[in-house]
Amino acid sequence: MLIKFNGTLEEVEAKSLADLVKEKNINCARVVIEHNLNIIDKDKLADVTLQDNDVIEVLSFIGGG
Amino acid sequence: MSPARRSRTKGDATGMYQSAKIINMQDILKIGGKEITNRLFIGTGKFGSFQLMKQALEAARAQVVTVALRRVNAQDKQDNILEYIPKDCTIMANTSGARNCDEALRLARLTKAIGGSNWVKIEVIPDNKYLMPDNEETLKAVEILAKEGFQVFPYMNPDLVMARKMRDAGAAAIMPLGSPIGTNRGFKTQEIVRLMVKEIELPVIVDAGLALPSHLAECMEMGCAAVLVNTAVAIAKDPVVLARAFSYAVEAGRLAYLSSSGNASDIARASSPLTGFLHNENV
Repeated sequence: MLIKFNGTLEEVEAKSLADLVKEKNINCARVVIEHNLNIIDKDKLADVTLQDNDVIEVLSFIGGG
Repeated sequence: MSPARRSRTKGDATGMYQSAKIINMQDILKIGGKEITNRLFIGTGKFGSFQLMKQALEAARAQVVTVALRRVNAQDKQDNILEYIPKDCTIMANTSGARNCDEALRLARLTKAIGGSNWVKIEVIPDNKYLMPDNEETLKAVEILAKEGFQVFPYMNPDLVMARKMRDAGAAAIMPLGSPIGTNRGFKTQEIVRLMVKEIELPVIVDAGLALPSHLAECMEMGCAAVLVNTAVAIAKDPVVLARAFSYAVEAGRLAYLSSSGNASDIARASSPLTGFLHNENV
């Protein structure tokens, strides 16, 4: 699947968002996941099937003022 | 009560007892649905390490900290900042990076989804040179996010008319800048902030550019509800010591605001009567 992950186009094995966070080794506890501009609940990740050109953002808190 | 406070309340003079009452009084800032007793809010950016940041927050006994939101770096096996923020701190996520209202809305909703707090600092900055906030775009975001149930803290360029609009739009407080972000230029906006403190029935929290204990004390003496500091602490030679100094300054300024009559005079006022020994007549 060719998706845009955090701004970068890449080929991934994952078929769903749940697969993707596993593939990317992401700790879900501290992040928010946006799929095509929709915020996805952590317990619904398996329900989201990836399509080509999907835009996925995975964000977490960093230092800031 | 500590021994020092016990002796102050022994009631040897009415004046001493009154001041002890003020000092012992729980000075609570009711804000954003919470009760805060430490009016020094601290930003978490630019620290040399998370460990150092944690020590500084502990030294200041911070209760409110700000954070930003960015993409995770999957390669970067860095710890999560939340592990280094004391558990009882309220997290105020900011919308830094937003250049307009829509971007601020998107960021705010993302921060809320991480969980833990519905406090959001609206930071809408289209200007890369001075990092000046866009008051109009900020106001739009305040109105929309307040309706969505956020506790909204708009970072703004001091402006009494705009502050009133933000208050009416549902802001939890107003956060006027002291001087441009990261410049350490101090409290340069006092004249307008003073009017805002006087006229807006919302907490006024000076944010940005504050660098010395005297700047913080000045904000608090004037009646500001709190201050937010980041750069000065993060890049200090010793952030832990400076954080502690700042907490003393905020407390001192606040106590002065609560207790002083503070009126300046052109004419001198002698500490002791001018008569009663060497001179019998009034001069």
